[in-house]
Amino acid sequence: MPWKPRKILIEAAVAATDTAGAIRRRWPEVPIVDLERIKSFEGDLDRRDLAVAKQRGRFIKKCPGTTAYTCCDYYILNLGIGCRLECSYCYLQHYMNTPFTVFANIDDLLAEAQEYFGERADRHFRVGSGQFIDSLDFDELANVHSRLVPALTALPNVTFEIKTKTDRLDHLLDLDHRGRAVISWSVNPDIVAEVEEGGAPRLAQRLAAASRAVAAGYGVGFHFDPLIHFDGWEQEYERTVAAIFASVPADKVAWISLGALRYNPALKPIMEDRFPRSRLTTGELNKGLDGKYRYFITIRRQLFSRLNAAIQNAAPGVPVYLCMEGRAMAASTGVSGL
Amino acid sequence: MRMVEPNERKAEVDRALAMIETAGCRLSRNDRRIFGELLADLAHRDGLSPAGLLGSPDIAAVLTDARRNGPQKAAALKERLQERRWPTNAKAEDAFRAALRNLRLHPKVRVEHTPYFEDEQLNISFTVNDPAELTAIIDSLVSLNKKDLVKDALEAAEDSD
Repeated sequence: MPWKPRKILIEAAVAATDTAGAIRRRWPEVPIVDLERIKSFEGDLDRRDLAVAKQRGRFIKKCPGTTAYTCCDYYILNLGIGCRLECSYCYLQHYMNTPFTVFANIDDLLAEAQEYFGERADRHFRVGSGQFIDSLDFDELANVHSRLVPALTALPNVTFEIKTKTDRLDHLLDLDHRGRAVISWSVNPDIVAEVEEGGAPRLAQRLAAASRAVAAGYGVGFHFDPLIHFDGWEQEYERTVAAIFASVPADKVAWISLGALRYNPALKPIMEDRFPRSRLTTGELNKGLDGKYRYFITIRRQLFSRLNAAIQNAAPGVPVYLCMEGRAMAASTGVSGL
Repeated sequence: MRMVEPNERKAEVDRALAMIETAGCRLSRNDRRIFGELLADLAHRDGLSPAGLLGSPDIAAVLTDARRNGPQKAAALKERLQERRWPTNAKAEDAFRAALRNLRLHPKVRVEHTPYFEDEQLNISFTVNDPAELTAIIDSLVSLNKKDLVKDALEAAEDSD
C-alpha cells in the first residue's frame, strides 16, 4: 500500500514554497497543521508524520565519517531526514520518533551551494544528497532533484551524486546534467534484499533503472554497502557484480564503493525488535575502533578482496573505494581508492 | 528457520539463565546481561532455543562438571559461548597466545593486541625492580622484533576457516 502521512506539518517560513504546495496537493485528504516551528508542536509525532520545514542550519556538511577509520572526503547535502524503504540495518531507525522531514527552502540551499563551492573553486567536490534520505524515494515527496541537478552541475568543481535504492528516476532523465551528475544505487543480492531491504525494489529493477540513467547520459555508481557475510556470499556477490556489468557499460561507472555491515550498538535491539526474521546481528561482529559493531577484521578483508577482484575482472580500472575502513585494509585488499 | 517473537525470546533466555543458576553459577546483573545476549544471539543464529543450546554436549559438560565450583563453571561457560559466538576471533586469539608463549618473553612482560585485532598495534607493559631486571626485560623484548604477532595470528585464523 502506498505510503501516506498521518498528518502534515508545515512551517510558516516555507508555506509558500513549491515543495509545500506540491505536498498539500498530493494528499488533500491528510490533515495539515500550519505552525511557526515544528519543534513547537506539542502533539504526538513520529515517522508516520511528514514535516515540511525550513533548514536553519547549513545544508552542506562534510561527511562525518567515523573516528579511527579513513574518510573518503565526501560532502552531504542535508535535504531532510527519513526513509520509507524499511531496511533492517538502517541507522535512521534511531529517529523513529522524528517525523519524515523535508527541508523546503531550496532557494537557500542553491545560494549556499553557489557561495560554498564558488569560494573553493580550486578544489573538486563529490557531493551527495542521499545520506539522511534515499534521494529518489524522497523526491516522491519533495521533487527537489529536478532543481538541484541543473543548478549543482552548473558548478564546474562539483560532481553531484544522487543515491538511491529505488527505480523512480524518470523525472530526471531529460534534465541538463552536463555530464557532472552520477546516479548511484546501493546494491545487494536478492537473497539479502528480500529479508533486509523489504521496501526497496529488487536488484533487477535497480539495474534496469541504472540502464535508463546511462541512456540519459548520466554516470552511474554502485555501493556494495552494507556487504553482508552469509553462507554462499561469494557466489551471490559475484553474480551481482556480473549483473551490474551486464546492465551498464563499464566506462559509465563512475565509482563502486565497498562497505561492510556496521552499526551503533544502540541499533541492535531496535533491529531485533523490528525485524525478527533478520539474522544480521548474529554475524561475527565485534566493536571496532569507533565503537560500532563491524565484522571481524579477517571477514571484512575476505569480503573486500573477493568483491574487488570480481569487479576488476569484470571491468578493469573501474574506481573502487572502501567506506569507513583504514588505509591498511585498503592496502591488504588491493582496493585502489578514488 | 526458527521464528520467535521478541517477547517470547526474552522469556526463553530468562529460562536458560535460570538453568545456569540451577547448575551452581551465581550470576550478577552484568553476568545476566552478558550471558543473556550470548544465548539470544547464538540461539537465533543457529536456529535453536537458548535451553537447547545449553543442552549441547560441550556446554552441558561444563555445567555438569563436578570438579568445577560455581564461579569456575560460569567462567568456562562464558569462554565456551564466546568461542562459539566469535569463532574466528577465538582462533586468532589462540594463535596469538601460542606465538607469544613460544617467544618466551620475560615473565613480567605483558603483551596485548588491540581488541579484536582491529589494528596491528601491540600494548607492551612491564614493571621493574632494578636495572638488572630492566636489562633482562629489554633483552627478551628483542625477540618481538622478529615476529609480526597480529598479522600471523590473523593469517592462522583465516587458514583454519
